[in-house]
Amino acid sequence: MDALTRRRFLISSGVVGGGALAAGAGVLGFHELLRTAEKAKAGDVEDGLPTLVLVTLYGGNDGLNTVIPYTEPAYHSARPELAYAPERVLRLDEKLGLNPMLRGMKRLWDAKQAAIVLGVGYPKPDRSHFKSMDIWQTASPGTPAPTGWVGRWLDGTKAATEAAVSFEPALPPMLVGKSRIGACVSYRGLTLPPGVSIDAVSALGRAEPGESEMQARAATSYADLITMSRVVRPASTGPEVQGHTVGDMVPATGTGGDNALSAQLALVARCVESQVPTRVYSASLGGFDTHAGERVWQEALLRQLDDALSAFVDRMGRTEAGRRVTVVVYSEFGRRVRANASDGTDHGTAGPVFVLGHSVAGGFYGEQPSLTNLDDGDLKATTDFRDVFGTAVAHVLAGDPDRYLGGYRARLLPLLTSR
Amino acid sequence: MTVADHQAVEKLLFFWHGHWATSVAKVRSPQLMLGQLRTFREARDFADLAHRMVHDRALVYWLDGQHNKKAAPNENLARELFELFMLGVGHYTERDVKEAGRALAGWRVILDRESLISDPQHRDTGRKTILGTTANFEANSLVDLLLQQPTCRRFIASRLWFRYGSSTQPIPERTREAMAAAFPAPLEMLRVLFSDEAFQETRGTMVQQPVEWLVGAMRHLGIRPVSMPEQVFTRVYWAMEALGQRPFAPPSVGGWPAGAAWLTSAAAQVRLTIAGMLVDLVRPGPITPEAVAHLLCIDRWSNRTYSVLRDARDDRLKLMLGLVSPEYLVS
Repeated sequence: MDALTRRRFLISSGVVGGGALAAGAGVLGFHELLRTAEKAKAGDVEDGLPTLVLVTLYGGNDGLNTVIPYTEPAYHSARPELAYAPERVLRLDEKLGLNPMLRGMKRLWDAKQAAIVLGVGYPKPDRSHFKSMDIWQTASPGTPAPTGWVGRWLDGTKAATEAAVSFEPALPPMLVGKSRIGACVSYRGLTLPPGVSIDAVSALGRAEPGESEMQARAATSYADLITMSRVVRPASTGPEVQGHTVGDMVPATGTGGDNALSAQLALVARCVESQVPTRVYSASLGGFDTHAGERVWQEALLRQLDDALSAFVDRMGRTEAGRRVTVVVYSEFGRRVRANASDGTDHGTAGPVFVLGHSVAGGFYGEQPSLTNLDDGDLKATTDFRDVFGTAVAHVLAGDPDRYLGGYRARLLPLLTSR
Repeated sequence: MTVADHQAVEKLLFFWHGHWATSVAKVRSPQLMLGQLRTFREARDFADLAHRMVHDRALVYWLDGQHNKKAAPNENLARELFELFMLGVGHYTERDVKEAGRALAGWRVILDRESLISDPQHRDTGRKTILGTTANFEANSLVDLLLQQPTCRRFIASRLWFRYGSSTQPIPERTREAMAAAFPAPLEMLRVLFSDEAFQETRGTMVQQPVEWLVGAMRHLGIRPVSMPEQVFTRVYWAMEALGQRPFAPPSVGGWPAGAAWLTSAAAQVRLTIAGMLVDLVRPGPITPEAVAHLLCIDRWSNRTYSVLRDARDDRLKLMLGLVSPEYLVS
């Protein structure tokens, strides 16, 4: 992290510089967020605008074992221990198939609700997690930028605090603009110490007439904790929320991201259904840095990802607001084509980006990079990631992508059905 | 008063740690971090501290001072000296920053040397014009120049107000001037602040930072970190990370956030866990809500918290809920 400049350090920590640093700017309670829906309904806010959900996979997901070129001999010879046999992949066409863990995604694909953009990357790939993630989130591959691309859109549209919301532990750089930042409504699951009841915590969250604003906010944080756990519970697998003990709150790989994606998406779903006027949500899943023993590890993560995403997209199909939601799933880089000596893969370059939802025109976009014509052992990107984000700006947020991508002119992809 | 207490010094050290916010994440040397902490303790006053800090190995390394050479200037340290440490935004120009960067060029951090090494070959001994004054500025004369600026004393007064008084209300001009008159003695400045009317009015607005909350809780419960079982200590340490405030690892040179930033629902969850661990270390005897208030130095409970404590099933729970109560978090 030595090359991290100060400004970037600021945003990567979820804390912004200058005036916004004071008074905890960007912190929004869940109750406050839900209340914005009522305000929006009462006011003249335009009804039913499309919503973008950005899902970041921290650590560098192995794209070649996610969307698998199962017929290519080069795929099998470069990673004999890691490669999937053709009969195991979930076939999408005669060349490419999904990892066997991605059954839900296959179902969305068959229903034409999943688009896969192939070989997405940027020129002169950087193999540092932090730098490459910064590049994706700031949409600035050439020079470090002090703002994220969503943040610039917030600036440009003079957006309200609730326009962009993250349910991650810290605000991602993507949502940080110059004058505006997204809101961080963090939630890490509910595990109460022995003997403490939900009722006691709820009671602590009641407002007391006449108390100071900060004391009231402190109380609300307990009320929020309980409400959020109620919202999340139906979506999680166990009877309790996928709890974290304090010990495992720190991501194992140290590359960021949170492990309860389904919990984050359940909160997004609740907000969408309540018609909260948020336009961009950010959620994440961490742990994709699979240098060793990749197969087991990545399969567990892909299953989590698949459960969370397919349940979310299905649920979104049930409401009008939900059908206007588009999900974009990306990681900071793919991994090297050749496996390393510990049955893992090292940091690589281009990878697939998934675009999901009921407004999505399903199918493949772009071109699968060649496995034989490599750049020093790595895939050559065929689509610039800014074309995907630019398309999201233009077609989901109805903005001008040229204003928010640092001078890059995005080639828009027909990812969404015209409505 | 509070300032006569030894604890006031410790709290001030923590204030300076957040002010000259340096992180071990980049410095990577516990010795250097410890050296900086010792400097906070040993400095006579702010003037002495500022002189020592421009020569502090941890700070210089943190802000790339060792890359600052006459031929290839790095103005990171100079910029923060103006913006975050001594003057505040808006009281200098970009040109001042550049020139001050030149004045700070030529220092190197070598791990096994006690102090910063001056490298004559990379120093810039030429004339610099900073804040309208032209001279052959070097580190000490630059700091002297900044200390003479009236904005410096006002800035330090406002930073103390931000952490001790209110992070949401700006410091009233009268209070600021009264504090500035006691510059550069920080405890004197605080004494002025604590007896100021405006300070009294900030009651109920100051959110305890996680470290302050934890330290307060341990003091009130009579727990010493050294006597904690190692496993508990480690869990508490990582819980501080989850709360967003790991000592010696501020998120940026701007220091830690303040106010509502600490009151997220994620933090609420972590605080409950820590409070549980702490209370389990003391195993309290029979206790009433009034006694909990007394123990935790709380004037009075709100009706809400009183009834929560009254209804709590056992004494352990009463104490724990007291530790996480809004009244204990906000002062």
